[in-house]
Amino acid sequence: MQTAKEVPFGTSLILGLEAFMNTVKIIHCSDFHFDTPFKEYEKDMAEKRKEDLRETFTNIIRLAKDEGVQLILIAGDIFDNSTVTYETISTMKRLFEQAQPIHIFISAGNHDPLNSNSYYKTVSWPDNVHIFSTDMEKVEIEELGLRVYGRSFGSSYEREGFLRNFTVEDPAKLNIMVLHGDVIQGNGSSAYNPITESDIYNSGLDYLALGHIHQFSGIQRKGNTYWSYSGCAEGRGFDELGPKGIVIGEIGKGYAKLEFQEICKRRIQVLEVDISEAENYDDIILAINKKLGLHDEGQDKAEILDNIKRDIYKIILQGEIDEEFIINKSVLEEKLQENFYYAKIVDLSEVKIDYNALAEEFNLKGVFVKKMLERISLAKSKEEEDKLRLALRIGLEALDYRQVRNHED
Amino acid sequence: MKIRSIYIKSFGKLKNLNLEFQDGLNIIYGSNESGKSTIQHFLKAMFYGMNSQKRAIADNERKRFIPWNDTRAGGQLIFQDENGKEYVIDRSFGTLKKEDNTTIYNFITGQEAVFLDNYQPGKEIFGLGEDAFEKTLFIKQLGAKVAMDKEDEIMKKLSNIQESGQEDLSYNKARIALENYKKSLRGSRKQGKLDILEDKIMTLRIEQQELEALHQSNIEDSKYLQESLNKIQILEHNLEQALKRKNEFKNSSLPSEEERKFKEKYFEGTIKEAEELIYKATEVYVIYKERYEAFKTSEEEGNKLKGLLDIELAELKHYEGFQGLEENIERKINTLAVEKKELEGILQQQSLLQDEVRALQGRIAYLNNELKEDGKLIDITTEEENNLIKLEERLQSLSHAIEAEQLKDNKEIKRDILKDKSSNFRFLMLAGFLMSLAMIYGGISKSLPAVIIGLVGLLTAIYGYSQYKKANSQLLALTKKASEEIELILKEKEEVEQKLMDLYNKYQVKSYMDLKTKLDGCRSTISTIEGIKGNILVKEKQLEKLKAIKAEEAIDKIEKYFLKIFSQCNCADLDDFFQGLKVYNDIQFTVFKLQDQYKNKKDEMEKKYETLTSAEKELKYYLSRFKTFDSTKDNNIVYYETFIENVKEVLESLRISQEEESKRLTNLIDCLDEEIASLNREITVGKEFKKDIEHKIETRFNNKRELWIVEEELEQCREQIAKLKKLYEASDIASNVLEEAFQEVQSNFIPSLNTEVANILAKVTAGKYNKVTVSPMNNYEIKVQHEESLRCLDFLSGGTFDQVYFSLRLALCNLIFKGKSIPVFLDDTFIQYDEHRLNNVMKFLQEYSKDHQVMIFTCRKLPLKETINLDMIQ
Repeated sequence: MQTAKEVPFGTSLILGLEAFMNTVKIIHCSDFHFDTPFKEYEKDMAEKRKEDLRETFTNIIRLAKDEGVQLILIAGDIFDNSTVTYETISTMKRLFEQAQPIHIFISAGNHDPLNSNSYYKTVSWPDNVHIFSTDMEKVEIEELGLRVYGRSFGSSYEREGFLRNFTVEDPAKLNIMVLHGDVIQGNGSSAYNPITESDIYNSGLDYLALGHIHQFSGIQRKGNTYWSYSGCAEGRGFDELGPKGIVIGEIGKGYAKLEFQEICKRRIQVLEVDISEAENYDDIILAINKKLGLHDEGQDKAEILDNIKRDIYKIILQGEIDEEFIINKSVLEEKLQENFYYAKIVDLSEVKIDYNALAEEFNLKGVFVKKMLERISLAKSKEEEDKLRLALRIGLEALDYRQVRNHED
Repeated sequence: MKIRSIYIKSFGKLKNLNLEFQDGLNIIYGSNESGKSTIQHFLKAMFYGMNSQKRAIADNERKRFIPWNDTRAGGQLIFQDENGKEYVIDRSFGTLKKEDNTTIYNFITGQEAVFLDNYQPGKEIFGLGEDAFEKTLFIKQLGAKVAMDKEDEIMKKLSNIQESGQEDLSYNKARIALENYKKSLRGSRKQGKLDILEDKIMTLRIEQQELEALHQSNIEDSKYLQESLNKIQILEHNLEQALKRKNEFKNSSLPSEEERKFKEKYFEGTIKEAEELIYKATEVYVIYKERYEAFKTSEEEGNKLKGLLDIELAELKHYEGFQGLEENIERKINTLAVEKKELEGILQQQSLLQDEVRALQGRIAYLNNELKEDGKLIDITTEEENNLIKLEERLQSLSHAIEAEQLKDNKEIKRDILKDKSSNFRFLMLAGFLMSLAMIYGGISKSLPAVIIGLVGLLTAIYGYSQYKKANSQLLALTKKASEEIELILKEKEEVEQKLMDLYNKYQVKSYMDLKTKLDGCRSTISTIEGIKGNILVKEKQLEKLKAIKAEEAIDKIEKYFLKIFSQCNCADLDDFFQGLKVYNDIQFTVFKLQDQYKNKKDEMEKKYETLTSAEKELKYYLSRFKTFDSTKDNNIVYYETFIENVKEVLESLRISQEEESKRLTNLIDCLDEEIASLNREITVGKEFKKDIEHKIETRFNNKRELWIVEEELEQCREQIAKLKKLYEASDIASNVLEEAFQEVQSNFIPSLNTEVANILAKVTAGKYNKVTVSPMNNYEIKVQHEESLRCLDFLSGGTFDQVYFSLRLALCNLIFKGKSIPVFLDDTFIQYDEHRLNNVMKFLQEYSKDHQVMIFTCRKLPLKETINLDMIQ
C-alpha cells in the first residue's frame, strides 16, 4: 500500500491559494442520536440533556448561516429510528427549512438506516436536504463546481465497505463524500461499513466527512484526500468526554482549511478523586476542589467555577476510608449542587481494613476473611474479583454489624 | 468469681433477709412458697436489672417483686472477683426503670466500680448477656433443654473458644443478616428488590412494546401522511392544471380563424358590434325596403297612370278635332241644334204665319176697306214699328249691357275658363318637360322605357306649350274685345237714342208706348180690322221677328258651322259628333282625371322617394361600416339585401361556428368542472385523511411516556438488576463462605463440647452413657449413643433427659468459662432423678464445687445437708 505523502502546511497553503477560486465552505457533523435513552442520568436530567442536544443542533444551523456555509454534511446517526419522536423529526425538518439555501447532505448511519420505515423516507424533507440512497450516489452542484457523493446505511449493519473500489468520476471537479462508517486499520474488520486507509487513498476525493466515531479524529490526510470524524456534537454518556463539536472550514481542490470547533452546550467530565483519610463530607469536597485545581495558585478559579457550573461531572471517589464513615451519596451530591451544574458521585472507596491481619485470627471472622481472600486470589476475571470483594465486604458487615449495608446505589 | 452474700432489703415477699454463701456447694432448702425463686430473681435482678416489659405479673419482675406495701424493691449483693476483690452491688428498683438506683463499689475502699455496666454489671462479670446467663448458669427445674439464646451468645462463646472469647462474632446473626439481605433482594413472596425490579421490567417491557407498536404506527402513519401529501400535491397540481385550462377556455378571447378572417375582410370591430350593426341595418333595411316597395308601387301606379294617360292621350289624338272646340261646344252645338230646330221651327212658323198673315191680310184688306180712319198711323209699317221696337229694345239691351256686370260676368267666365285651360296646359307642359328628363336619363342609362317615357313627356310638353299659348292669346283677345265692345255699345246707344228721338218726332210720340197707345186708340176705334190687323201685325211681327232671326241664314250659318265642326271633328252628323264629343269628353275627362291622379301620384312618389332616400342614407350609414360595402351603389335594394344577407350569413356562420366552439368549450368546461369538482372532493377527502393522520400522529403519544424514557428506565432497571444480582450473588457467596468458615470453626469446638458433655454425663450416669453428639445449630439438640447407636433424647426417660441436659449445661459452662470460676445456679434440677441418680449427681457436684461455687435451690431433702434453710430463717 502506498503511504500517504505528507504535504507540509506551507505547500497546502499555496495549493489552497491556487485553488482559491474554487472553494466551498462546509460544516461537517454527525452522531446526534436524537431521542436515544440516556441511561446514566435520572429522568429529569435526561430530559435536560435532550433539550441541550436540540439547542446544539439549532446552534449548528445558526452557525452555518452566520458563517455563510454552503454545505452541511451530516454523516449519519442523527436519530435512533426506533425511538425518535415525530416531534423531533418535525423540529429537525423546520430547522432544515430555515437553513435554506444551504445544501444539507445526509448519509444515514447504523442507528438511522434508510429502510422502508425510516423517517428519511416517510417524511417529506425540504428541497435543500438531500438524503443519499443506499447505493452510492452523487449530486452535482454546478455553480460550486462540486460533486457530493454519499451512501446511506440500508440496515443496522453494512459489512461491505462502501468506499471499496471507489474512485471519483471527474478528478477535475471538487469531490466531497459524506459517509457513516468505521475506519479500520490493516486487516481489521467492522460490521459498520469498514473503510480502509487505502480505500481513502484511492478514492480521489477531496474530503471525506465521516460519522460513527463520537470523538473528533483530527483532520487526517491520505494521499490527496482529507478526512475526519467530526465526532458527536454533544457528549452523551460518561464515555464521551471533553469538548464536542463540528468540523468547519473551506475545502478546495487538494486543499482543506478545516478545523474542529467546539459547539457542545456542556462538556462531560470525569473526575477521579482520592479521598483516603477523609473523615467527613467536607474532607471529600476539599479533595474534589483540590482535584479541580481550585487550590492551585496558577489556575483561573473563576473559569473552573464556570466550568463546573456548566459541565456535567462524574466524580469517582477512590481510596480507603475509615469504616466508621459511611458515605451517603445523596448527601454528598446535595452538597455539591451548590457549585456543580450536575455531579454524579460514584463511590469506589474502600473501607480501610487490613484483611490479611484479620485472616490471621482464628475465629469465625478470621476464617471467613481467609477463605474469601483465597477465593479472590483465584478469581479469573476482574468481574469475579469485584464480586468476591463485594462478598467479602458484605460478609464482614454481616459479622460486624449483624446487617448488610445498603450497597444498591 | 464468687458471690459472698446477699441482703434483701425488700424484694417480693422477702424483707431484710441476709444470706451468706460458701465458696463451694450451697444447698438452699425451702419448702414451696418459701422464697427460693424470689431469691433467684433477686440474684438475677442484681446482676441484670429488671428488664421485662411483659404485662403478665408472672413474667414482669417489677410487678411481681416490688412489694405491695412498699414503693421500692432492693437490696445488696457482695461478690468477690477473680482477683479476690470484693464489690457491693446496691440496687433499688422503682416502678419504672428510670426510678432504679444502682451503686457498685469496692467493699473495702468504697470506690465505685466504674468499669462495670451500671445497669447490667452481669454482662461484664459473667461475660454473658441476661439471656445467655439464664441459659447456661441458671439451670432451671425441668427446663434443662437448651434453646438458642436470643443473642446467640452461647454459640459465639463456643465458636470463639479458641481465642479467649473477646470477639463479638455471631455466625448465626451474620447468617441471618445475610439471609435477610438476600431476602430483601429476592424474597420468597416476590417482594424482594430484584423481584420488584423484574416486575417493573415486565411492566416496562409491556409499555415499551406498546410504545414501539405506537411508534411503528406513527412510522406507518407518517408513510401514509407522506403518501397522502404526495397525492394531495398531485391532485392540487391536476386541479391547478384543470383550472388553468378552464380559464384558458373561458378567456379564449383569441379570435378564431373565421373571426379573424371576418375582421380582416368585413369589419374592424367586434363580432357583437358587427351583429348589432347588421341588426340595426336590417331594421333600417326593412323600413327601406317597405319604403322602396311603396315607392315602387307608387311608381308603378304612376307609370300605369302614365300609360293609361298616354293611351287616353293617344286616343285623344283621334279626336284632335274636338280639341280646338270651345269649352261649351256641346251646349253650343246643342243650343245651335236647338236653335236650328227652333229656327227650322221658326221657318215653319214663318211659313205658317205667312199663311196666316196672308189670310189675315186678306181679311185686313177686307177690313181696311172698312176702316179708313187714322190711316196715317196705321200706315206705319211694321218695319218702322219693329224698328222702333228694335231700337228701344236695343237701347234697352244696350242699357243693360252698360250694366257692366252682366257683360263682365259673361266675359269673366270665359276668361276663367281660358285661364284654367292655360294653367292646365302649363302643368302638362311641365310634366312633359320633367318626363323628357327621363329621356335624358334614359339616354345616359340606355333604358328604352325611360327614353319612351321621355319622348312622351317631350310631346306632351310641346302640346302643352302650344295649347297654353293658344289659350293665352284667346284670353288676351277676349280682354281686348271686351273694351272695344263697351265703346261700341255706348256709341250705338247714342245712335239708337238719336234714332229713337227721330222716330219719336216723326210719329209725334214720345215713345213707342205712346205710339202704341195712339195706335191702340186707333185700333180701339177700328175694332175688328184693327184686331185682325193687330193679329196680322202680331203675326207679321211674329213673322218678322222670325224673319228677323234670319232663320235660314242662321240655319245655314249653323249648318255651315256644323259642317265646319263636323269636318273638323270628322263627324258625319250631329249624332256622330255628339257621340264623338261624348267619347272625347270622356277621354278628356279620363285624361284630366288621370293627369290629376298622375300628378298626385307624382307628389306621392316624390314624398316616398324622399323618405326612401333618408332610409337609404341611414342604411348606407350603417352598411358603410363594413369594409366590403360599396357605397357608390345607390338605391340598389338587391345589393343592399344581398349585402345584408351576405354579412348576416357570414355572421351567422361565424355565430354558428362560435356557438359550436363555445358549445365545445362549454362541454369541455363542463367536463373540466366535473373534473375540478371531483378533484376538489378528492383533495378535501385527502386533506381530511391527512388531518386525521396528523391528528393520530400528534395524539398517539398523548398521556404516554416517550419511548426513549421508557427504554432509559428499562435500561436503568436492567442495570440495577445486574447490580442487585451481583449483590445477591456476592451475599450468597458471603453466606456460603461464612458457613464454610463456621463449619471450620465448629469443627474445632464441637468435638470438645461432645467430649465435655460425654464426660459429665458418664459421671452423672455412672458410665451408662458416655458418648453424645451435640448440634449447636439445631438448638443444641443432643443425640446419645446407646447400645452402639445414636439415639434421640426423646426415646429416653425424663430423668435421663434431664441428666443429659444438665451435662450439656455444665459442659457449656465449662467450655465458655474455661478456667474461670463462675457460680452455677441449679433450681430443683434433680426433681425427676431417682435415688441412685441423685447420689451420682450429688457426688459429681461435690467434686465439681471444689472449683466452682454451686448454688442448688431445692424443695426436697438431698443426700447432703443444706447450707441454708429458708424455712428455718423465716
